[in-house]
Amino acid sequence: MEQLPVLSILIFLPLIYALIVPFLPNEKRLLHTFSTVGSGLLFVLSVLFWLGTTKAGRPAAEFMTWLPQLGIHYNVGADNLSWVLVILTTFLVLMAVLASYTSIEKRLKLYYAMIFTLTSAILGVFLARDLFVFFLFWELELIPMYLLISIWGGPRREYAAIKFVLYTLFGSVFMLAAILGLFFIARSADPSATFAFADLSGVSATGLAVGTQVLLFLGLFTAFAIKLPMVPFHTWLPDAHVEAPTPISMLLAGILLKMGSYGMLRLCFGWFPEAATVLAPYLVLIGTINIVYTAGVALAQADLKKLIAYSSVSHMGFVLLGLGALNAVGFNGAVFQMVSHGLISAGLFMIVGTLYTRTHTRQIAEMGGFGKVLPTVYFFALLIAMASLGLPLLGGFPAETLVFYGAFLSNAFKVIPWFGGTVLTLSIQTLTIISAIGVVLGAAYLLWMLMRVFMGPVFPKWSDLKDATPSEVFVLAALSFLIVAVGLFPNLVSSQFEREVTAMAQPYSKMIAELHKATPKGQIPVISMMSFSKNEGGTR
Amino acid sequence: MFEVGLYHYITLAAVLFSIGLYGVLSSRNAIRVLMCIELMLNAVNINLVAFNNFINIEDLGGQVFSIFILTVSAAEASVGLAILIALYRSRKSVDMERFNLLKW
Amino acid sequence: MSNAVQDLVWLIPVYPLIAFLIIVLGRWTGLLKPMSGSPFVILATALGLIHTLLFLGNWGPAYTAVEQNWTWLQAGALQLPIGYFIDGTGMMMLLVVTSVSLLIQIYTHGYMGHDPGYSRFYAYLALFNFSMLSLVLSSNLFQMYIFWEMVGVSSYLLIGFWFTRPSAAAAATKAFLMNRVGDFGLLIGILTLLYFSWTYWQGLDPQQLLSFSQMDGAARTALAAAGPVAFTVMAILIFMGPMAKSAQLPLHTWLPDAMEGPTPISALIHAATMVAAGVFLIARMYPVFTISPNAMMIIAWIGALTAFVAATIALTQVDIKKALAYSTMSQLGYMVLAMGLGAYSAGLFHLMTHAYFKAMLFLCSGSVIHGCHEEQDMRKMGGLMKYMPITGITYLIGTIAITGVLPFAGFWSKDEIIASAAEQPLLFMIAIATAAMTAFYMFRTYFMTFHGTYRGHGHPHESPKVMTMPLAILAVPSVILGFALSGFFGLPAFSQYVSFGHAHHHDPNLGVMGLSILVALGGFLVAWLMYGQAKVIDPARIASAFKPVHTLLWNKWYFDQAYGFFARNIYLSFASLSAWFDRTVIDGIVGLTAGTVNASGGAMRALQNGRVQSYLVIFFIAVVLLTVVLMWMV
Repeated sequence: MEQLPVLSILIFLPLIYALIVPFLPNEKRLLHTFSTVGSGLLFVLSVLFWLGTTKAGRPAAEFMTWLPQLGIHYNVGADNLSWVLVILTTFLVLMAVLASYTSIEKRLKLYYAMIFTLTSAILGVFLARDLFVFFLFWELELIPMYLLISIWGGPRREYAAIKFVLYTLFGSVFMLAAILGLFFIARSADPSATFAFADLSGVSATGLAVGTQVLLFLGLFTAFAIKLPMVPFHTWLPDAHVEAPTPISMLLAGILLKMGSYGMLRLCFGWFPEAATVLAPYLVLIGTINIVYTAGVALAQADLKKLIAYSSVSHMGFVLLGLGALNAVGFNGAVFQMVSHGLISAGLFMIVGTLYTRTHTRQIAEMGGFGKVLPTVYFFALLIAMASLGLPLLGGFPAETLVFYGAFLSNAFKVIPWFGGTVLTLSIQTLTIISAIGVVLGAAYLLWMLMRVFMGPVFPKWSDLKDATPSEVFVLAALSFLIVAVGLFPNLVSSQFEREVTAMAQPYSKMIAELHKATPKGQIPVISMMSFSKNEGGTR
Repeated sequence: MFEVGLYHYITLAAVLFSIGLYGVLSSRNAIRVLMCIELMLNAVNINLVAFNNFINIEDLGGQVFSIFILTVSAAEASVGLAILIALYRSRKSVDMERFNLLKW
Repeated sequence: MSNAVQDLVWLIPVYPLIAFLIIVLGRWTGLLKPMSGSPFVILATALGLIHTLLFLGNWGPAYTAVEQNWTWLQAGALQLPIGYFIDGTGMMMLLVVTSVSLLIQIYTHGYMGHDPGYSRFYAYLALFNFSMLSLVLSSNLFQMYIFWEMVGVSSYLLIGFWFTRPSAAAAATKAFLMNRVGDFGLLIGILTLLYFSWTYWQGLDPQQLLSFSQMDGAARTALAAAGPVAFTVMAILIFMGPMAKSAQLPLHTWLPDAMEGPTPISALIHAATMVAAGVFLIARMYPVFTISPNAMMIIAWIGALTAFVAATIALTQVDIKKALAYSTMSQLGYMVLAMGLGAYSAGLFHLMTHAYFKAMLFLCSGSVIHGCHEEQDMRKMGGLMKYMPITGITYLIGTIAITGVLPFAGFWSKDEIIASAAEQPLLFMIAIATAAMTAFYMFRTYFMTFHGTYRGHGHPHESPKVMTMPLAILAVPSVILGFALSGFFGLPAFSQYVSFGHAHHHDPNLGVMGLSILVALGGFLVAWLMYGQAKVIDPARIASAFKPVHTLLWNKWYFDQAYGFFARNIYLSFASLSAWFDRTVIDGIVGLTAGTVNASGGAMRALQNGRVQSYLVIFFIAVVLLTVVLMWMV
């Protein structure tokens, strides 16, 4: 394992698959088998490599000089936070490939080539340790996703695909500006600085004015918030989900959204603690709106897939809430939520997909009594929906618990500074209580969905539906197994990333204390924070 | 006695150019447009020769230029007419109003 | 031996979990046949009961509490533990749950014998047993919250067991949702408690976070940190959990609807064990409640009002299971009242006796329904005593027990509760009035079902032995449990085992005893006059004489209508309003942005008409303008 460039293998192996697939004979079985074996191998490799590097006791890192004049190098590395997401990715790609058996009919070569390109891009995002490489992979992910939605999607696929691309590009503009700004600030201090994470992560600690930090933070944050997605940048997601085919929805909800939350944690909260402390009240406020508001929207949906899509948005709000808590518990909760949401939302979309391939409708009103004709699907739907609504001993509960405990025990803020020197008297505790209403609403829309779709008498036209096929059962069972395992033994998962994520929260207790000290109680005038010149920030 | 000076040549060239321009912009017949382009080129030629004659008679730059232009315009006229014939074959017309293929 | 029994006490909930997994995996792989699986579950429960008894036998004379914790989830400074904690209260619950479950599982074999979902039913039963026993063993509040929700979901699955019936599906969903509302309060309460007592827990072993054995100090720290008002609010938030789980006003309407589930479930979950978990939680959190007198008063009042309201509704019910459900609710109200009054032992004693006799009553009703060909309407029964004598006699025993007649079990426990209310005249009056109504409606159901002539269709028949045997066994504790543990007959009193703080035994209040027996007899008399052989008073006349009252009771005090109104007008309007906002405003702004770009592109497009000549015009104008500008500049 010493010399093997494990991370590069993981990133470029799928790309090689994508190049091989077009030259294979155009036979369905062969293509499915090749992709299954390929993604299975990728999954196994990712687990083996992870075990290998943990055994070696040092984080994996690979480096290659690329464009030294511009300070850009091929630089990848992995700590356990990255590893958890990488393994989640390879696992869900395998699941998505298996789910394609029943849901994808046409142009399989291009389809699998795109899936593998997408995989490569996502793995690149999680493993990049150079901000420019990160940005490249971030943008690379758009192309396959656009094609996957716009070729294999539903009736309004082009609208949805273009909306997705435009939204993401809109965010990328801000991210690029922030990346360049950060780079040039680093260069001005140290002419040999590069785009490497190691060179840029410490920039904010070198006496950078809080206002500048806030700008850089927000630039990066905009891109991540759109990916997350955060209200009010979320409307691309329901459209994209409704139009995308089932495996793509699984990947979209399972991994793509995690790119946003991962970037938020590592880049925004990891690099700009001061800015994060200043902005935390607003983030938590928006996170609360995310949870409760989109849960309300989900409750009113007549389209099953849209309901699940909105529930996915709602659950990603917990990530924002956990990050905004600015403590180790909240951060761990946010990461845990990434993992469990990855499994649960993929499972829910798989359920919707299995129903859709049989009925060719997504309207809840046209469904009913499926529990009788599709008992296996019902079993898994029940289990995964319960996990989604936060039932203990299933995957969603530990994440929500950590987020709630973290947020409630946090001292991030007592009031929210508002414009003109006024404040909103909302403490993080109050907002946590409000977000807990989301748990009740979550139970409401999921249970109501189960009731209308699976319970009650069978509609005559559905009485001869066939229960899940072996490949579908395998996907659902594998996802459910992990959901149950994560729920029963959450410490097995959280102990992997606990140390690193806790370290990320290290600077915050000091930051918060200083912020509270610098400003009189209950009055944190937002404008004075926004000083841009150096050595003038009133809060340091 | 009436002396023909530089200004007279320039004026002639300007008038000729304007007539040509008017023709290019307003004609509906493509052949006429082509001819008006020739007119504009000739106006330029007059300018070049006149300036050469009145400002620096030793250097023949202006006159050589005009010969270049004559050559190029001959080539241009032939290519232009060939295009027109091709257009006429496909459209049965040389009406400029009907050629808006540059629109996306 | 004794050490192994003690150290492995966590196995008690694991037995049913294993049975659950065996059935699920066995049915899935096809190794188990469709109508099988029950032996595993029954065996698991029996093992649990034996283990519990062994534990009790080896406990030692001091009955010191046993506690053990493990870390379940850790993040930063927070460690969330799970473990087990057994004291007198926990042991009492363990005994009740394992013994009642075992009998009901045996009964189920007869009741569900022909249902195609037989295996599934037993799997759910095992899941419930696992959750309930884990809840009882919980060493800390966090763990209790986990299994609190797990018993909720078991109840959801079992209420919706016949999910193809729309009414069962709706009832299951309603039960889960209403419990979720309670759990929301409980969650916030736990978080608030943790927030205010954080400094206290930090001084302890992190694995003892929120553990019941340390709750006393935590409560004091929290009270000092929060002040009395916030502390009371916090206590009420915690109480919201029991309010939903134990069907207290106003979160009670799910319990009567839960009778859509098969009858063994109504007996096990919605009468004997799960609904009592609320009272159990109050008992576990007693250190918090006792130091907040206002919270105690609110709890007492909610308990009393629940007891009263439920009893009034039970007066008019014609569905035998619904009548019993309201009776359960009323008895739970008694228990909560007792807890609120500080009568810890009395409340839990009533929990125990009630578990046995109410389970028996429900099983009797199941036997009746079975015997009358799935008929639940009491107006279509009657005279069943001669067709099904064992069921009839056990039902009569249960009725007497719940009515509180000497020396049956209910008398001892209920009497203690009523006596503890003696110092508060208003609560005392409510309790006495409820006792009178209890006697009336229970004997009403008894007379309507077992006396008179049979009014239904077909021929009623006695249930098989597998169903009547559990009834007979349950009749034993219903009769003797009360005086056996009353402290009069040589055996130690219940409060010796189960008490909060130091054990104190009240001398029986003879006046209260007499009064409660008197009102019970009064209730019986009225019931006999109206529904017994005598038929002296016509119930219809009474109903029409008190028409407004009867309408109110018939409509169950309009709680369901109020919730329906709330759900339709507030809940769903919030949903449709946010959906509208999302579609119109947010997506509208997005669309507007896209539209603006599109429209400006369209405007520019007009310039590009594809004609060379118009391009030339623009070109020429531009050249002229440029020339002019240049000349002006030079």
